Amino acid sequence: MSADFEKTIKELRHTLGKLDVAFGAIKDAIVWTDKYGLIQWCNTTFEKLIGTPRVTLLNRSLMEILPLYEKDSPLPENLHPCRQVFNKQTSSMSGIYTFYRKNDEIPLEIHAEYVSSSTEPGSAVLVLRDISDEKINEEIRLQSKALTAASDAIIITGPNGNFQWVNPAFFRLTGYQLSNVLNNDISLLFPTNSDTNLYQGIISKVRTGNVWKGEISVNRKDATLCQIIFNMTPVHNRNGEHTHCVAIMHDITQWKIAENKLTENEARLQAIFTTAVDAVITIDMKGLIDSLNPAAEKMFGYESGELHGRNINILMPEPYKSCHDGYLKKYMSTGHSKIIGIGREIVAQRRCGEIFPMELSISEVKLAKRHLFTAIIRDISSRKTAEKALQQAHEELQTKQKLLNEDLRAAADIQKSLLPHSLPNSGPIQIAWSFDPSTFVGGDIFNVFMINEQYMAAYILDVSGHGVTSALVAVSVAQRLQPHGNLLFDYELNMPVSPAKVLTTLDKEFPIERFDKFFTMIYLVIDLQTGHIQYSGAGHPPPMLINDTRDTVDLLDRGGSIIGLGNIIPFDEGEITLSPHDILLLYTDGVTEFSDKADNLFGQDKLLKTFLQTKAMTAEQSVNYIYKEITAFGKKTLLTDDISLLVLKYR
Amino acid sequence: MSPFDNFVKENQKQPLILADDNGIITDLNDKFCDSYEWERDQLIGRPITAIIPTALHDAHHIGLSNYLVSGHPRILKQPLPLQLMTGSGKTITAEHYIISELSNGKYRFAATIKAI
Repeated sequence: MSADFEKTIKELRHTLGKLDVAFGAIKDAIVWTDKYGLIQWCNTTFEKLIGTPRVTLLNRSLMEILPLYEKDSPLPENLHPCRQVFNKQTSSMSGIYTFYRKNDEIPLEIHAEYVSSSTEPGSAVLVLRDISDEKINEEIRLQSKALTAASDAIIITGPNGNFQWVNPAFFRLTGYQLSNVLNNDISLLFPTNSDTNLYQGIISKVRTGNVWKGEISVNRKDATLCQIIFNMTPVHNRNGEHTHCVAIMHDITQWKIAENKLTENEARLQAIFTTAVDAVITIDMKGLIDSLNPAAEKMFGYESGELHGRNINILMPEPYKSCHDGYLKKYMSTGHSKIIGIGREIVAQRRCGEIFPMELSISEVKLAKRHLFTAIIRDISSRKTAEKALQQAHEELQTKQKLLNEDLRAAADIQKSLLPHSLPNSGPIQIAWSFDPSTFVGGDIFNVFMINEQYMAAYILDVSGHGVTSALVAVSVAQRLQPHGNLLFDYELNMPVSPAKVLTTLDKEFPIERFDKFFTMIYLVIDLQTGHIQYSGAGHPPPMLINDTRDTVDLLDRGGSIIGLGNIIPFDEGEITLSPHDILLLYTDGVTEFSDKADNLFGQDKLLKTFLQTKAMTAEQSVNYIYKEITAFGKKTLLTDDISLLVLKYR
Repeated sequence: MSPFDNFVKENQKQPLILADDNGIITDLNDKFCDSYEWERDQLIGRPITAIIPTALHDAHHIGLSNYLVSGHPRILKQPLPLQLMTGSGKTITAEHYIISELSNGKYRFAATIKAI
């Protein structure tokens, strides 16, 4: 060996020695292999990475010593970096892989290169960098961002709960900045009137390594309270020393308000559900009973809880019992129903087998994963019985009404029979009348008759009210006013009794107390030879007299008060003498008080004008004309009182 | 007698081989030749890499260079299972125990290599 060659060798050894020292000091692991992947050399960092002395690694397969994972999957041997660079020979490559040393997961950034010379076989040189710290730092950065962005308030404290860090959500929740709380512990947040042991309880628990979690109220900076879920977790360092606590505050104030409202609503609904008189039953899509109220159990005769989970068809008689499952299935597939949302009457069956009518109303509740149907059932047995009884009573009433109507018609016939159907028209007086009772029988009655050959009498009366009682009183008075009795003719004087005296007698005989009725009337006596009239009125509308020559209307308004007061006020009497063609109208207040649909009264003025228009007519024409005008005015409104017209025309 | 010479003397019954600071084999005993199928003439004056498998040559060169530069031994004075090339070309693992001595500014190395 020449001296120069030996010197070169020594220099190269020196260089190699320095490189080895340098490679031993760097943090990157370096290893190279031959073409078989056998380790030819590695540095100290690689030794530490593998955890095995270098001498035991030499000439061993790198793929066995350094098995790699890519994205959690084992890397096939042909894709191992040392294999890849040999396969491609000229290429270098880089990649991120995972190496598992026992339980440690070590992320590695590996750069591999193929190295060769003309005299020596090629090698794969791998430089490996443990990027755990970079990954951890990246994770820490990410987690820090997450903490900052979290919607829940997060606090990092020392072991005694003294504030060290808070996130922005803490400020949003409490109004406290970190600078406001730095010299305080978390007891600052607890209301002064709250449990004084709360803070100690929390700290004691986390000191023993446990998590404290619970719902509490905390103070905001503005002294208002908020409800939160407070979760405090101890943090220990590598030596197991308790160094920090992490507290998370989840604001449930709004949720609590909603929960309270929900609870209140639930309680209210439950109270309604429990105390309802109607049965309320909820079934699922298969027709199985999901819930029912006590009223339902009582209505159907079952014990509490006995019907839960049973098919609803247990409460139905045939044929509904057999068909119900089919109805339900059909509805679930087609959505067509004849009953949901439509109340209807149907029958149900109690446990004892009794079938009873019910009013059924069904509504559907669509939940996320299932449908429920709620039925509200009202037992209408009593109502049906009552309806049936009512129907029977109605029918009985109709029958009785029919009989009563027949009686009323008979009474009306009797009353009408008392009206002057054979009028004394052969004398100088022309007579015509019209009578229209408001019911079958009325309280009006009138008559015209001869007292003797010289004197004619006429009266018209109106008993208060109308109907049978009034008619009977009217008939009774009419009976009393029969021409042949001594009420109307004084046989000693051979003269008619004066009208005032007649009314006075009637006033005595028909006091209000007798029939609980009173009446008004006009009574007059006409001397047919002279046309002289004596008259007296008892609270009755005064007769109208048209004087043919003067073309005026006189009201015969002398008299007194109503009949029935017992002669408290004496009756006055009037006299008038008819001229030829004079025409006299007697009527009841049913004429003037007759009203149209707008409640306008026919009235005395209109009657007077109408009557005047009949001046040239016969008595019969006059009556017909006036009656026609009255009915035309009313436009078919129903009579509320009897309408009586009596016209006397002097020839 | 230096510890180095004493080691050589005491281990004559073991396969023993010596090298200088250039990694050149300077001596070996019969026991070595018998044990690992080498002739003395085949090895004297040749680099020690003659008995080291090719795959370990880099490690040998770098390790030796490091030691010569830094003086810090990594594998000396401890029994190590290392691979060895026999005279018939086989690679076997044997227990190596290596020592060195700096004498007159030069290192010399001695190793016993026992079959395992």
